Amino acid sequence: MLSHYGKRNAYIWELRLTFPRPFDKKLIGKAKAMMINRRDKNNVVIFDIEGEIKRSDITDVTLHQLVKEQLEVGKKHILLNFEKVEFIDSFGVGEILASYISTHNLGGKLKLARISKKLFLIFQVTMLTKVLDIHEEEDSALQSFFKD
Amino acid sequence: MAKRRLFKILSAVVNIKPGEEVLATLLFFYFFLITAPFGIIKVIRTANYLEDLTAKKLPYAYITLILVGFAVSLHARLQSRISRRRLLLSTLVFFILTGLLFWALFSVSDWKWLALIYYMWANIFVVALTTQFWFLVNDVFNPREAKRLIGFFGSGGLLGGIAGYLLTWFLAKSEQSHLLLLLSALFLCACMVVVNAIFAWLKKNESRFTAAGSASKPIGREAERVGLWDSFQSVRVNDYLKLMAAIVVVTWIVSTFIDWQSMSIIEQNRAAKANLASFFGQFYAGMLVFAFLLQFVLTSRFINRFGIRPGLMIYPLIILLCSVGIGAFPESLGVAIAIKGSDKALSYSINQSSRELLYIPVMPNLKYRAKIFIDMFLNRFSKAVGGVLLLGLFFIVGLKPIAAIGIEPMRWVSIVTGGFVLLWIVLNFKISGAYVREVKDQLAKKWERADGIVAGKMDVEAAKLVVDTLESRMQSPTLFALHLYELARQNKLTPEIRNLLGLKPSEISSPLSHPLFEYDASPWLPDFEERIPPAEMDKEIREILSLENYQKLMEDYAGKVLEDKSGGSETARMELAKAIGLMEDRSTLAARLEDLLLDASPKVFQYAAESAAKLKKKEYVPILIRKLGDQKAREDAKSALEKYGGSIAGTLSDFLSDGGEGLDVRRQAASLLAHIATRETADVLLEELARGREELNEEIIDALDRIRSQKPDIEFEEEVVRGGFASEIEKLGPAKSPSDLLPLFKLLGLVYDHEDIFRSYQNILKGTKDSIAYAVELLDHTVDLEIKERLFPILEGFSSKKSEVE
Repeated sequence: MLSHYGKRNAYIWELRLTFPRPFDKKLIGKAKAMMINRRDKNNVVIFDIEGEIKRSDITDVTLHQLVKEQLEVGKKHILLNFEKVEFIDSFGVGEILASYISTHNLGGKLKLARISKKLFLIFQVTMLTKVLDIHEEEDSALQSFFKD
Repeated sequence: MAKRRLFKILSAVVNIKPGEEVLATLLFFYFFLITAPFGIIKVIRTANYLEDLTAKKLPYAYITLILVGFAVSLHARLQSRISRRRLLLSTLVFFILTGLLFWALFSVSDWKWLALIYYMWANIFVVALTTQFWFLVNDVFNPREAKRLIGFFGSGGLLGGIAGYLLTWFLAKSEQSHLLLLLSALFLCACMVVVNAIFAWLKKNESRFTAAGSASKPIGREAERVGLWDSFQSVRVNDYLKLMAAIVVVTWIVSTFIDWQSMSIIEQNRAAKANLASFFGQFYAGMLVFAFLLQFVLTSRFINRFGIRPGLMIYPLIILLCSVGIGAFPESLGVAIAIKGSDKALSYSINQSSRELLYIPVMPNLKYRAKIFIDMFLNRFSKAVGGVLLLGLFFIVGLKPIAAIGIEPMRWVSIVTGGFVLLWIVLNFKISGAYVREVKDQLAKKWERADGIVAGKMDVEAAKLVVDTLESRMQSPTLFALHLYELARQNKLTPEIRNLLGLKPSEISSPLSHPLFEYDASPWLPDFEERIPPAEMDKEIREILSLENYQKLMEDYAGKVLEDKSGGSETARMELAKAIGLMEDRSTLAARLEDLLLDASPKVFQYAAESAAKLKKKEYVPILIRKLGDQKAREDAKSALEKYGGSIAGTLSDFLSDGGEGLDVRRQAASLLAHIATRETADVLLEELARGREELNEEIIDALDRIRSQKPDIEFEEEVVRGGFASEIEKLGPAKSPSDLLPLFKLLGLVYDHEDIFRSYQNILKGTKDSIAYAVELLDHTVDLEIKERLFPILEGFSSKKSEVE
């Protein structure tokens, strides 16, 4: 369905979802809670995150906890896939940063892929693009683990 | 040689400038030769009237003065049709011939009412000739010149009057009265010679006295249709001229009452009645000697020292006093002589000079029209009104005019005179204020302080931000994003700015561009604001910035950036410096800004200074102040410090007064204190001014002037300002150009009306003779004597230099 709108309109659509305004109440109502699926590929743990990462929907298991669990079992290459993330607030960013620090402190690498343009813009304004390793596609992210 | 000698003689008694001596002397004699025959004519007029028709019929004589209006109308029409020179000469010829006719008629006729016709003729004589004289003076001189020389010309007139009265007294005493009118004709013949000489001189010096050309021609196209009605209309629509007209009406009504009172008492006095011509000759001569002394010794000095207002007030106040005297002693010849003497002596001296000065700021064309109506018609008309009022008063108090001489009407007239004098004082008070406004109107303020205009009309900060945003596109996507974010936060992403920034990606050739950032900028830009409401985005970013983990990460990153000394890290340092501006002041990253403020790269410093201005931490202030000494960093440091506002006034003051700091730093500190512009910063600057450190004075005075421009309510300690003025004027030495005087005017602007002071300064800077003259005239009414005595010689010097050049 999104393909009908083209690249630019897809982006607008995405922002509508991620930044609901008062007249978008229906969309808020339909918003999904965060779901994280784990898969392994080429010795890299990939977390596919889905839905919304926000303070109000804190679940028993947070992204940071999941990352730490993987670090504890010796998995030091982590890729966070944001393809299906609809919304992320500062709490979500905090989770990403905490995960990054934990990985980094143990000599591991945490990378991000397919983040929304809005999140990229926020990362740019906050200079996090200078710290975090962000990739447009999952494949390029995976390849980069082995290039470094 | 002769000119030099003449100048030497005149300059001993008159404040005369080189080049003015010949014209001033000729005008002196011109006035002398008008008033000398008038002295004779006036005595004959009064004596004949009292002898033939008595004082009881004086009100009728006053009423006939209205007929003078017709003569004035005729004169006005002639003035617009023939050249000034021809008008003056033909008027003189007319009065010579008619004077001789009266001489013949008086010799052969005993007709009583001839005295009344002669009375009217004498009045037309004085109105026509004196007005023509003052027209010429107004044409040729500007206010400053007129102010200096008016006393001298007035003295010529008074001396002429004295000569006329003394001759009358002498000839009447020796029974030679029949020669008097012949003698007055001779004076007028001599006057023709002088008038010719004046116009010859003016033609020769046309370039020097610009009005000379107009003086020798009719007044111009505008004046072609000028008649009495046009003159009246010109006065009617002008508030200033209406005020002048009202004063003239009241003055002449009072003068008429006084004339009637004194003539009535004199007529009753036996000794005086025996030889009225001799008595009046003696009386008028004595009165004019008094007036001359007043004029010569007092008028110019008085007006120069105290200004026009006291000059206008002294006459009515003395008349009020005398009027009370005549009310108390209604039969006393001494009081009658005192009141009539005071009336005429003051009228011819201080009042005449002050009143002529009131005309100076009126535009030339309007002035001619006004003078025709006010000086040539209205004063005579007012005397006629005075006559009607006298008759009305006698009617009201139940006395017939014929029996009006007596104690009771005398007192009634004194009471009414008192009322009119009070009205006169009020009007004088009003016109002296209006005069200063008229002078101001001649001096348009042409420009404001440039910094004020820029600040008032331009959003300098926004303009800088847009330029920086454009520049940052070429530098780094992060910097660009940071700038866009700032523009959005400030609601500055207007359609025009979006268009300006919405360049095609091909035009952004940044090697640092991230693949995610490579989108079409044109559609993206509007979305930045529309799809991510600035308030929401701002909230989110602030929350991220306050995250402990974020701080920890960025602290590490900042450490790396600051340690990296490779050339490429400049952009990273710029980004970091810009981003720190988003942090809270308690952020650990904020401490890193001190290193960035000390960065050798001006670009890094620019962003660091901007961030420092946002965080406003005290620790940055000394670094920023010291950067004021670095030419490349100065403007950014200044801009940052300005945003700190009053909180850094103390630190700036310390730097300003610390001789160990660089001069550039201290100068800029003065300028910053001006930007803060509070009572406290003004005091700090004044304190520094009082210390008299010459190397800083220019900036301190400028800073004080800026404070004055921005905050007119702040008062400056006058004593310190005066001290600064005195030291600046001493330092000045022989000023080379008017712009050297700027600090002096800035100081004066602190304690006097800033607008008036700068209006004057800008007109002095304009540098024409008249602009300087009007500027000095305005200052004359603005600053006090002590300042005038120090400043005016310099300003008059510019005026003379200008004349020499011209």
